[in-house]
Amino acid sequence: MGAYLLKRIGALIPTLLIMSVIVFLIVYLIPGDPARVMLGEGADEDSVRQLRQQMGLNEPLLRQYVDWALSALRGDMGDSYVLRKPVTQAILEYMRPTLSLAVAAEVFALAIALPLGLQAASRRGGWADRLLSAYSLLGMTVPGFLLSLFLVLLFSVKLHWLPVSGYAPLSTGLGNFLKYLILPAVSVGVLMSALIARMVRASVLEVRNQDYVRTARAKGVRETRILYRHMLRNALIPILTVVGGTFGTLVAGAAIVETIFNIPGMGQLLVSSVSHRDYAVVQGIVLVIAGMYVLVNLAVDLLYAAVDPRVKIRG
Amino acid sequence: MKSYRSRIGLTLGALLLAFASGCSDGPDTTGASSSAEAKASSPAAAVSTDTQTQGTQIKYPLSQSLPTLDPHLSLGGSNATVVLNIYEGLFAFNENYEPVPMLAESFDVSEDGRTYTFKLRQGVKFHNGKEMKAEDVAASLNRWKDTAPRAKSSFGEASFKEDGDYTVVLELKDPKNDIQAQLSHVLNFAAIMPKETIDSALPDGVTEYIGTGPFKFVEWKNDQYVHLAKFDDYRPVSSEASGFSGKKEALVQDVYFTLATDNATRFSSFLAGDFDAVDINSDTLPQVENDPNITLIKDLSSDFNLVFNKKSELFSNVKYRQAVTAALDADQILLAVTSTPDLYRLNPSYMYKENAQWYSEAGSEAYNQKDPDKAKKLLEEAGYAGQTVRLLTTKETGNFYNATLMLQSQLEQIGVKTQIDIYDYATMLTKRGEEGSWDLYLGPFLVPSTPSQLLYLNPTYGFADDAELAKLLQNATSAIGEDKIKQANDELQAYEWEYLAAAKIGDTYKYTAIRSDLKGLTLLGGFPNLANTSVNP
Repeated sequence: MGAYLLKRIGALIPTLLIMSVIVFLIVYLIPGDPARVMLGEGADEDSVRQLRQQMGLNEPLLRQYVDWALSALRGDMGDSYVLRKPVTQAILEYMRPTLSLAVAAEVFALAIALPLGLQAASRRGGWADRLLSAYSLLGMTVPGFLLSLFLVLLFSVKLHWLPVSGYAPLSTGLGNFLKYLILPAVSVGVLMSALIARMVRASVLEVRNQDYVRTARAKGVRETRILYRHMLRNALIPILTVVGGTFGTLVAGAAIVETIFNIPGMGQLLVSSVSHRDYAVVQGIVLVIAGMYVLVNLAVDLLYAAVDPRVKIRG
Repeated sequence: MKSYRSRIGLTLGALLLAFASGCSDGPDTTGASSSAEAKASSPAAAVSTDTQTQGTQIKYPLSQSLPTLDPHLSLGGSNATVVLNIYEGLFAFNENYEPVPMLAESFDVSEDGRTYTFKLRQGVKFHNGKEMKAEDVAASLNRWKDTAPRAKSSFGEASFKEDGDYTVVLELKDPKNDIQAQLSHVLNFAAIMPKETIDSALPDGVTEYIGTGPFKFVEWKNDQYVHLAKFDDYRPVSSEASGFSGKKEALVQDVYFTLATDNATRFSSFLAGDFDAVDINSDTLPQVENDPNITLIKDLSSDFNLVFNKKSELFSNVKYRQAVTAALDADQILLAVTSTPDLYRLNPSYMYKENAQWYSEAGSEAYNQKDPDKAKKLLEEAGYAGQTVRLLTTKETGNFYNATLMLQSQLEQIGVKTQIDIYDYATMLTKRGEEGSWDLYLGPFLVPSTPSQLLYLNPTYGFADDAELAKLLQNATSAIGEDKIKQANDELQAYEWEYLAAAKIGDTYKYTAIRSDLKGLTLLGGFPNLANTSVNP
């Protein structure tokens, strides 16, 4: 197990190395100059050149990359010229709202998807099944940003129940924390729940005619217990795959929802860093997102073994 | 098996704990923070969770992120919105764009127009408690003139020198008549800061934000909000408030400038009460114009100009510049920008009509000609052979893109082949600095107050390189006496329409919606002066 973990985490290194080269090249080869952004309209060439020199942007590209990569290996991803702080520190701060949103959205999605999917599978063609069809159709076709706007209009502008935008950390109180997270979490959670609910339904339907289910019924086990204890558990592996995928996608693609709801997370930081050509931050965030994606997949793999004894993990 | 599973459980638990720790806090602060609300990571959270301060704070939205809060590097938009409420200069514009003494008590100009002597107000305190003296003013303005693109060309090697504690002297090589206007300009703002702040500034900006304005800097959470608080030791002047000049008094305890880049979010937040004001466009106007609880303020926000790349293959030839200018239909372009005739006006001058000293209609026969036949004839004379004209634009800010689409249509009507190059703002800035990357650029310019502030008359913006233009600009800004200034300015404006560094399109207005309980707010060039503004609880 320990060896397996080490092996998987070790596999991160080449992934991150390749990512870092790609991101470094993309960021530096796109036009746009941080010095010019800082100096703005009408800046003369002398001032731009001078600031580029002071910011170390006139060094050869390879040297800049090697310097950055060596520092990154020591955990130092450079400094942000906009935030004026180490990139590592900035990412840690901005990661928290993103992770909070991802966790909240996932919890919402599972809370809707699991009961709905199970109910739909247990009575195929019944009311829950029809509801699931309609819900998943809507969830997957209504764009997230449109849903966000509807939710804001209804719950914030008309009813004044929830704030339009912003983020409050847990330290300001659970109620306040949740108040700010509900709308963004629901906005992204609806699509995720539609996907997961369909997967739950399909997976459970696949196992409902298995011998062990018939045996359980013959033994007189209650239908609810069969559903949750036997069928769901055996149907969990494809469900976990979808859940892991949606979580990773949410962490990586939070920019839109963070912009709409004004959440100071990694997505918003990435967008503004690209605008300001804050190279070090862009590189750092992309690397961290890549790393998190791999870690989420690792967690999913570990969960396979936890839910299915037939899956063995060896180093 | 059990221990194996428990190990997996522990590993997963650790991962979950790592995720959950994310919920515990948010981005750290930038700059000093002393407020209790600062613990909240969201501006909205910080504002709305503190019910005790209701009625003593203003919540103002920012539509663009802030790369810096350095006033000397103030680039417009969000930056000027914030810094104009923290800092002050020796002069400030009144509502007619006339420079009025602010931190200067008085000033004197020598007969030859080369020596300016500024007497400073005594007893003015910086936000750190230190009294403002001549050494601070000289250090600030020398950094400003070396840093601000708008100031560099005017001041050259001249420098501000202290003469005692309360006098600053500027000795210029050539006479200048617009120094006060330059010192008042809201962009690349000539703010006065403590000498220590200037001495410790980094190449990309100052590291502390200390001014003399009615609000002091408290906290900047990058990409979230800037918090200002009332400066209790502020010493106002006694003259009547107008624009950014005159008497100022902070009537609220706190001001939060909150970043909300998404238009719909910004507007929804205003409707929900999270902001006290919001910018309004033609889409959102119907939702607020008849609301009795909302007041609309309309003010001039920018002037639109078509800038020619004087180093491009085609537009280095003035005939091509004249051809395009002859084809322009200013109404159509301005309508594409504003969507409503209420929000623009035709203006043949490169200056606002309100700017009495510099407004001139000389050469205006070249303005808004709408004459495609003349344009085609000029193209023929120039030898146009179907080359593609590259229109540089961005979709990121303002209405550059809509205006450019309309320009494209007008050019195609006279048989010019066009191509629109759309970039993000940062790339557009870089491209515009390259001689070979573009031909035409149509965009808004903020608060033109004196000819030397017109960026496109300088070689750095569109590569104007013309001895006559430089001479006339020098004449206009060095003339002494009202009549001579007017004559030199008319000559300059007439030549601007002849040389065509840029073709003026018109002026645009902006609506700002404010809650009716917000009293006393004034805007100049789209920038709010939050002094003298109160909120009824």
